[in-house]
Amino acid sequence: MSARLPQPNRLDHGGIINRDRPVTFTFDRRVYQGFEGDSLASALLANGVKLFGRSFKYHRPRGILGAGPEEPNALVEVDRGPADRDPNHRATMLEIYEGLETFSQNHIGPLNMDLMEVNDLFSRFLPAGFYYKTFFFGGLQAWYRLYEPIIRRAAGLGRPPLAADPHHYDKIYTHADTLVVGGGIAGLTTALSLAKAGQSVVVCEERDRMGGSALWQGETFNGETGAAYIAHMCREIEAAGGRLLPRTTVFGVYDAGTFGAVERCHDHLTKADRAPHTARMKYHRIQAKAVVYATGAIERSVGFNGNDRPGVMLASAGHTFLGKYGVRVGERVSLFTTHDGGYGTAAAFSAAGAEVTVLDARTDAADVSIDGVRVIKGVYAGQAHGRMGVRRVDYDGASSGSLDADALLVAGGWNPAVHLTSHTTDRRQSKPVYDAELLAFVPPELVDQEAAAGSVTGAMSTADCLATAQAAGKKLGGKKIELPTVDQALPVSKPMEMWAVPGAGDAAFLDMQNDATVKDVKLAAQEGFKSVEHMKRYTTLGMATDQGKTANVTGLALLAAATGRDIAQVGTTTFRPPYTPIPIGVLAGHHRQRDYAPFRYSPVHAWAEDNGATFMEAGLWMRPAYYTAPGDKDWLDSAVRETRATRGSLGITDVSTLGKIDIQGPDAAEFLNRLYTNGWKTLPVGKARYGLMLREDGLVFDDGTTSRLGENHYYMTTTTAHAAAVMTHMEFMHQSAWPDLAVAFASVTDQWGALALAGPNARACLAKLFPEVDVSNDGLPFMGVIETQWQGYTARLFRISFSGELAYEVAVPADIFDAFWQAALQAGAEWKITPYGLEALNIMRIEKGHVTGAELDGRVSMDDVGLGKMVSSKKDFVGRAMSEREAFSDPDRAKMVGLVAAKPGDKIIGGGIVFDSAEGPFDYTTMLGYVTSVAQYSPLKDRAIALAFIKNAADWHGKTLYVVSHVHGKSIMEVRAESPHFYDPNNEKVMA
Amino acid sequence: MSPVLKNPLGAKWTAGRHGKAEGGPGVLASHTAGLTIVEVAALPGQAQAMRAALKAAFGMDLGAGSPAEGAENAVCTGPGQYLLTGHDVATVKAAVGDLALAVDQSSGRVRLTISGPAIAALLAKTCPLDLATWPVGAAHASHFLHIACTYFRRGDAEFDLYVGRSFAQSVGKWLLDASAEFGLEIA
Repeated sequence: MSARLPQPNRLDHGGIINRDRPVTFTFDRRVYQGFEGDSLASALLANGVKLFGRSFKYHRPRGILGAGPEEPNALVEVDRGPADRDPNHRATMLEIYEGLETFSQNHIGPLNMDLMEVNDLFSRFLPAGFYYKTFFFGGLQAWYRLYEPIIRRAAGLGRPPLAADPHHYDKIYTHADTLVVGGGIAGLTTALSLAKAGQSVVVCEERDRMGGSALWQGETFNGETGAAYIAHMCREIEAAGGRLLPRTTVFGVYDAGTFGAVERCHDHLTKADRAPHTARMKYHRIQAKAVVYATGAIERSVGFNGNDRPGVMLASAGHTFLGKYGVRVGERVSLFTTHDGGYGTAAAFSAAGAEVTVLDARTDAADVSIDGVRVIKGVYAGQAHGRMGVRRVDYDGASSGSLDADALLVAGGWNPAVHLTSHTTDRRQSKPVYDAELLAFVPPELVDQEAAAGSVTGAMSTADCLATAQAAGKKLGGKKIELPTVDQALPVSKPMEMWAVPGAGDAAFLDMQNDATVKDVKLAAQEGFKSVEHMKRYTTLGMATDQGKTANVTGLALLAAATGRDIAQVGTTTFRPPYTPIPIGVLAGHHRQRDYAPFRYSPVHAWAEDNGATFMEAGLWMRPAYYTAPGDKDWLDSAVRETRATRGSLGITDVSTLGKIDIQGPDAAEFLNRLYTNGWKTLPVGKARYGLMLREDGLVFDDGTTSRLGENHYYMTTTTAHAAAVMTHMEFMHQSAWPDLAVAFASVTDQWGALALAGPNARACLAKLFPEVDVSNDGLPFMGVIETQWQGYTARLFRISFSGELAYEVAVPADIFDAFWQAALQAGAEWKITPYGLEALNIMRIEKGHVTGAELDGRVSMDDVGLGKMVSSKKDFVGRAMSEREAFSDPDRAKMVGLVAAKPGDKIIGGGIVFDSAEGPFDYTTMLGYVTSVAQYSPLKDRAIALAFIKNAADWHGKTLYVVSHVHGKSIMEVRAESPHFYDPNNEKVMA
Repeated sequence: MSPVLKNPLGAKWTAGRHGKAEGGPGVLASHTAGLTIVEVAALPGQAQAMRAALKAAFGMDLGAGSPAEGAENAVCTGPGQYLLTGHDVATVKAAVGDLALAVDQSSGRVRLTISGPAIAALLAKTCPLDLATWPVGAAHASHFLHIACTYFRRGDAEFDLYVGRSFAQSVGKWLLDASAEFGLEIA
């Protein structure tokens, strides 16, 4: 910030920049200086830079077209280091700061010598639809090998960042009575009216400060400068409780008063200036009862040859650079206008010392005399010359000639920024409507909760804009406020209809970003693309980052002319969110990587971490998959060791994650009767029962055990995976189908920590933990339940088994579960108690033939999993009628079977397809079924075993089958089928 | 010897200052360990009778049952549903009898109390509801970021958060993240 560098195009006064704060930055590695308050565009223009980038398709040299969010050309990359660069910043919206490094895009070699410019030489051979027409030749092979790689290289704007986004983002819920979109003078006036009436108001302004063009246009308000008047209003709005959010773009409108907005908090600051721990951007999810669209209007160009040359600019943009930033974009300025508005800009340039010639398309324009401004009426710009910057402008029409010029400003009329009014049809069906007087689309008739204010309504003068703001305030219940007297008002008038000039062809650009020309639109019409949506897709007009903000209306006007229709008949394409590009990261907000979703942790998670557990995700839960002990070679080694220790002596596992639901009330048994397939009324207090739930369609939903703890008190367990779904199902059935049942229930999943003790020594261990309780086979028989105490806390003992061993589950309050777990380890030490994880549990339950989520995948019936006997015929239950479908008794229906690998060491691949021959073909005509669960090693069988579903399952017992995995190179695995109940089929162990 | 209660908020939840270090803390947070929490849910048609029973037994006036008529020790979580603090499950069950379900949630729910000058800005990140429509004494079943959470407004800038125990570590981590820009003081 030491030495001041020259800024040749910067005037020595004017603008709302801070001239006391020079800012040094780079563009394509060259060092420049601007001032605080500059955009990259204004600062580079101040330095005489005209060339900002290359166009997408033809790689034509491009400069600046606009001065705001509509900019189609000047897209740059911001580089903050290797892991932190992002492409496609609009130079007009990017605020400079000390040390900012930016790069131009879309060229090979230097910007002024782009090798891809060869495309421009061939542009007449690259018309709209070129790709569709050309790449038929050679068929698909040619597409994949030749065309696609070449196109891919050339496609895309900018380089995508290759590393993870290093920034963090926040999502904010913002509430308001009224959201005002746009903080120009109209939006602020409406906001003030509403805030004074006591409404909570949020004003979102996409630019760096409130006030819009009133800040610098030179009009005065009650004798004050625009900047002073705006500052007063902002203070008043804030004093009345309103919130002003600059750098905040409302990008989308959604149903029921929901709006999406992105606030940019960091991108204009050096790293040192950013508040620590704050987000780069905030995604505001705004909920507002009412909305004011004060989104302004975007100027449009006119189609003429060379209208994309660097130095050809919208008149409003030239005026903005002059008024807002004190940057004069040319000394010899040609200004092509179709309405009176151009004269305000002409006068401003003339006052700034430029030599100005107005080319007024209207022969009947009123005579205007401005010092130093030459006016030629009835002419249009026919051709702009100067490849790297305008040098000369040819005009034609009532007279013709050629002008030396270093800037050509175009005032082609205004398009109200109606985009947001078409995002939702939640409360009204209508889309923006064409106003043939204004030659523009204006907002549709808005509903009671919506209003529009300012130039988006089609109002042109500042006074008219203020009047619409007052009306908007009145409509939404605001307080009447005195409007200021506007002096030194700028001239305005309706434009003459001129979308493209005579002779405009393939160098007359409409959509600068996609290089869609006047000729392309005519070609589309000729080739039958008469719908505006088809024309858009065929020509790409209106696509990509700017969504055709400067191009759409002109394009469809030309389509209307080419097809002999009215513009109103042609209509607009549908505007969709986002209004301007937003980073994906900001939508994710805080929820990325490890914070993508919450984790659920068991009360003994920390213990498991400290004791060698490797975790796996089970829904949101983190569950130990296996515990690595010294000497374990791999996960399977650990799981097999844990299995052997459990089967041989005593294992312990954490089952806290199972869903648990407490059910109370006189009708609790009836409730269970209706939910489960089996009967519950005969279950005595102190007993548990296995239960199966169906969905309405008769397929199996979930299983688990439910215990009766008291006369009217039950305790249900569900699978970990389906806990929430079962709870929802119960709520739904109780509230909608059986509201009369006197029952209430609550999830107690988090209240209880639970462990399972399994193995031949489980009973001895339990007896040590509960010396006062009779846990003998008589005192606590299979499926028995005892509620007792452990160290003054309730403990529930369940004799149930998933592993196939003699086993108990014990639940105690989660707060003391860690202590209880340690006590169990201590009690079991004499039997070498071994903690086991899900992998060992999986081996044991597959050996036992117990089903889990892999089997109960939403496609199986009770019979399919061998549980057809679990149906009570004495009652109705959810899914009963549909469970009697014919298809369920089809003998060809796949049912569960056990598979055993042919020899030790052979693998069975999960998800493999089962066939009865090794010869093939291995397709759906010959497949018998599929594998659902695999134990890569079963100590019982000394080889891999699996559960599968196959047709005529029982007939295959004892026979050889083949499992083929199509995703593993069609490897063929020989297996033998048998009953899925490999281990202790008569339940002697669990009953012992 | 009584067993040690395990801190459900995880190792990162430590007393002291977190996040922004300059100035006073924007957010203060504390966790009440060992709190007795009982969930009650009225059987169909019994909500008013249940409230009367609770009033008779404990003197709680829960009005007509709107979520705004709760109390610090009787937080409304849904129609006819409350989290009661300070009474054990046996006492509560004896009071409500067959009018309502009563279950112990002392281990199942974790209560955090948060307060401070930045509390509105913090809640704007975590909770989709509008604080302006939310009187002191009112409860809302809502979200803390993606996690189900019951909020109770104790005072203008003081809230109780009740979350499921298994989620508490994620809540703690996310609360640390979300309040870092304001400065967090954990008691």
